[in-house]
Amino acid sequence: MASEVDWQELYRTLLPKVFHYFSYRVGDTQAAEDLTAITFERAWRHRGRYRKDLGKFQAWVFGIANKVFLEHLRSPKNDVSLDEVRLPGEGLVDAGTEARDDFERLSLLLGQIPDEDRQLLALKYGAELTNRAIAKLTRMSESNVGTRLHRLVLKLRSQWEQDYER
Amino acid sequence: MNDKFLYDARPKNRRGFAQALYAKLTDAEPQLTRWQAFIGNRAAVVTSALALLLLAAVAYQILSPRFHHEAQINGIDIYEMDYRIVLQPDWAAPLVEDAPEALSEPGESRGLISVYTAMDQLPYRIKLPTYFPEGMELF
Repeated sequence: MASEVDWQELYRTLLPKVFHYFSYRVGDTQAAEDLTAITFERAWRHRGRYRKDLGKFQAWVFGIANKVFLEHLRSPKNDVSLDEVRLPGEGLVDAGTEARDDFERLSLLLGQIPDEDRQLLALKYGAELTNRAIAKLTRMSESNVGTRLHRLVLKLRSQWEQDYER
Repeated sequence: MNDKFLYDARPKNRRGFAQALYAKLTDAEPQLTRWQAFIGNRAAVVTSALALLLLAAVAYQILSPRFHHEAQINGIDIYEMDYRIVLQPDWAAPLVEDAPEALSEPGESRGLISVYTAMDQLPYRIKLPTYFPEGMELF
């Protein structure tokens, strides 16, 4: 008989990953919180199905997260006016904590790469999934995932370091 | 591959957000009332009791004797057992006065009634033979 799952503990582990995943995808912590809440509300009701395979539960949650993100993109509320669009570098001086500052800088860099690449980074560095799990979710080969991530990280790090030197 | 900056730059999730969302998730779940819990337990108990009762009934049916008392004719108990009629030979004296003497032997108690009398009194029908060997007759 399978032991009782500690859903509270699982929530504690999974919540930051989902939140970071959305942070990487939308580049806005408030929107990331909203999308995280929607994802968990959908997944939580049916979590009992995954008592025996928690690995599948995690993959399933990120499947939901991806759908939630696509719905967010299609949502009319997501249409922003030009006045609301922030220019690169704008608002960084008063950003507050260093982590927040770094995240804003990273968001600006992420905003310049194709969405498919951004999704890979979100799954790897936000959701902390393995290349194999990412390959399953994105229907890419594991080696392709590894290669693309490697190139992306090299490119981003180069830009990150250049940004620091300024 | 130095990708540490991609982990370090992630925003910290607010503790208040995590707690509020968890509270929302758990509050939204339907909580069983005491009555529902009681009914749920009672239902399990009643179902178990019915299952035991059914099991006992089946066991009794299998283990109990396969014959039952059918009738009593002139003090003779008649049982039906797998379609055969058994006459209990436990009476003390002949019950039919006109029984042939030849059939009563010392030390043996045997009661006889005519087939036709039995047919009148039995609750079911007896099929009579249509052929008798020579020298035999039905009485």
